[in-house]
Amino acid sequence: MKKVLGVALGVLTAIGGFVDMGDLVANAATGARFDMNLAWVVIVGVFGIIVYAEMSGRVAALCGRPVFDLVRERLGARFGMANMLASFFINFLTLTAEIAGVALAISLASSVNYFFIIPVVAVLVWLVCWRMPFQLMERVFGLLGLCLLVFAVAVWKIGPDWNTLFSATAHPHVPGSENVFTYAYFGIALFGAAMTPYEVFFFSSGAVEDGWTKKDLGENKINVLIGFPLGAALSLAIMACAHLVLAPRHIIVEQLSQVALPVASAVGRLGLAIVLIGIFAATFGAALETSLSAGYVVAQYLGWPWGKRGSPREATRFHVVVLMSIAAAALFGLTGVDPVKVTEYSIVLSAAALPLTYFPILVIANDPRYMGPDHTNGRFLNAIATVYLVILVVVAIATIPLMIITKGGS
Amino acid sequence: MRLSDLLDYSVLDSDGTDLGRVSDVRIVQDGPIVRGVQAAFRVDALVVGRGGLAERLGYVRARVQGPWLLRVLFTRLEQRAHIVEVDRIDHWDDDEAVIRLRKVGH
Amino acid sequence: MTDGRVLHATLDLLDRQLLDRDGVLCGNVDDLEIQRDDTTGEMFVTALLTGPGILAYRLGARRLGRWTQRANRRLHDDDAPGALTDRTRIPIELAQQIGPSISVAVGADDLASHDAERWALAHIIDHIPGNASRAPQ
Repeated sequence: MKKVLGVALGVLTAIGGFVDMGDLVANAATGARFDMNLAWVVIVGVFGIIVYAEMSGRVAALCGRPVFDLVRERLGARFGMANMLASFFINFLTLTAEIAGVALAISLASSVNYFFIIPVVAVLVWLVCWRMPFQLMERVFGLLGLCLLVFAVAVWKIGPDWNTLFSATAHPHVPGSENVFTYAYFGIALFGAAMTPYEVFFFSSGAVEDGWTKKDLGENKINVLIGFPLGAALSLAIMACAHLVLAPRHIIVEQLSQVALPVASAVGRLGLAIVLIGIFAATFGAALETSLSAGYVVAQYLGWPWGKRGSPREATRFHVVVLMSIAAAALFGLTGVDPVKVTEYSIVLSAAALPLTYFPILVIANDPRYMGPDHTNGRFLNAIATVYLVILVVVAIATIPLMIITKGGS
Repeated sequence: MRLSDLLDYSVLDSDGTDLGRVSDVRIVQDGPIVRGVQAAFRVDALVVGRGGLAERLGYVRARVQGPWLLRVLFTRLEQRAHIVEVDRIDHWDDDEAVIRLRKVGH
Repeated sequence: MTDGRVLHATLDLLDRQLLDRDGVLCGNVDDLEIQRDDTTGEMFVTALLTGPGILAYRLGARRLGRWTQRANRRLHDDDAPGALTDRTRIPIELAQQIGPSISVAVGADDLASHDAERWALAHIIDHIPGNASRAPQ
């Protein structure tokens, strides 16, 4: 019974933890501009993150080494360092976006100026990183993030013609008002939002911190296989809301408040309150994960002690990097950068950088020296994983040209 | 000498053919016992080639099995490398960072 | 070939995580020391190298690497001599377990790679309240 409860809690955490600022913005923006014509990308993305997270969780459980440690081992010090710097930079953009997201959610609820809230959010994020136990932190914000299910309630309340909705989802095409480049660019943004790399850094580092062993592999699979698809379903609900409410009014998502608008109009004030709590929890949880990921990326590349399991005295440089990253992200937010734009760039660049960390993990998951003879990837998984490697490489090559052609999707 | 210095050396065959750079070092732990702890790490051969990244992945040397596409690709690249046993080294040209080999069978 | 464990330097040793005798993470294998006997032609891997300057040297910044190492040595001249004569050099016979990580029979504090960890403790972490509390599990 206790075990079932643990698994259920893990799954719920995975659902709530799936959505972050990137998913909120990308799904609402594409729903408003492309209706359901890019929904298939979310589904492709979620299977990708399942494959990636399962492999990195299994690698972490079997050899006790997290993602970035292995990136350097497989790619060498030089390429590994370039990789580390790129990942750190993209993660920094994501951290900025998440902190801004938290501040916007609070500002919408309290009508206090967004710029006054950013420093407060930064301090809170840092305090949690400094003091709160890892698992509790994961659970609280994951579960609170389930408030976002109100998006699904909103879709149901709007009461669309379900047949039309499903058939529109199943028969995607480039809408007449858009060209194939913007379609592809928003597709990449959605894909990057669903497969954000920091989630995997965090996931595998968490597995090492929690001391996972072979025994935990089953739970790893369940969390990933049930939690992530449900998280993706939640993303699709956000997209459907935007499609049903924003698209007919020709509203293009440029602010976080527009993401919440469909819920407010369909479910009312209570709905708005719940969705703001959900956005707060999802972005706050993601701000924590990206803060810690900043530390993970650097510390694991350089071989420093890292993590939250011990006290900060036992991982001093790691905590310094986390602290400075939070401070820098808050300052960047205070310069007045557009949070939605930062979010968009962070997810698109995340998609472009994915092969850099995915590839070494795929090789290690097949290496019997790390995995033992019985736990390397099976043939079926390898077939899917190879398809994803090809997809990721194509996406990575296409990203920058598309960014230039579409002028950042405008 | 550091490994990173050694990895800068080019290897020339006895007839002057450039085989590429040293990309790895094969070590056999069968040397004399050091300080009564464990056998010394004797360098047994140099892996020489131009495979670059491919040779770090271990598809041949560490018997990594899959995925199929990567195995085929990287096995081919890694197998292009030459394994040069240390006793084939004729001469170290440290200024030019070149290792010259002697003829096989002499 | 005689029997004995076969390893590849870049595949099995280079860039691996180092764990000290208490399991503390204490840097990566940034480079290896190789000794060449010009009379017999034999070569041996004699030490794992880790710490300030070593990685810079390996990445091609030879001068910066050497300078960093020298500066570091001068800075820590007064340190009580630990088990090692050179704090960036771990004799290979002290490598006890070679796998996904490498366990070495020295303390992290004996290594130059850990100096910055202690510096951050003394100058930053120590000044922030709550630094010693271990999160309850």
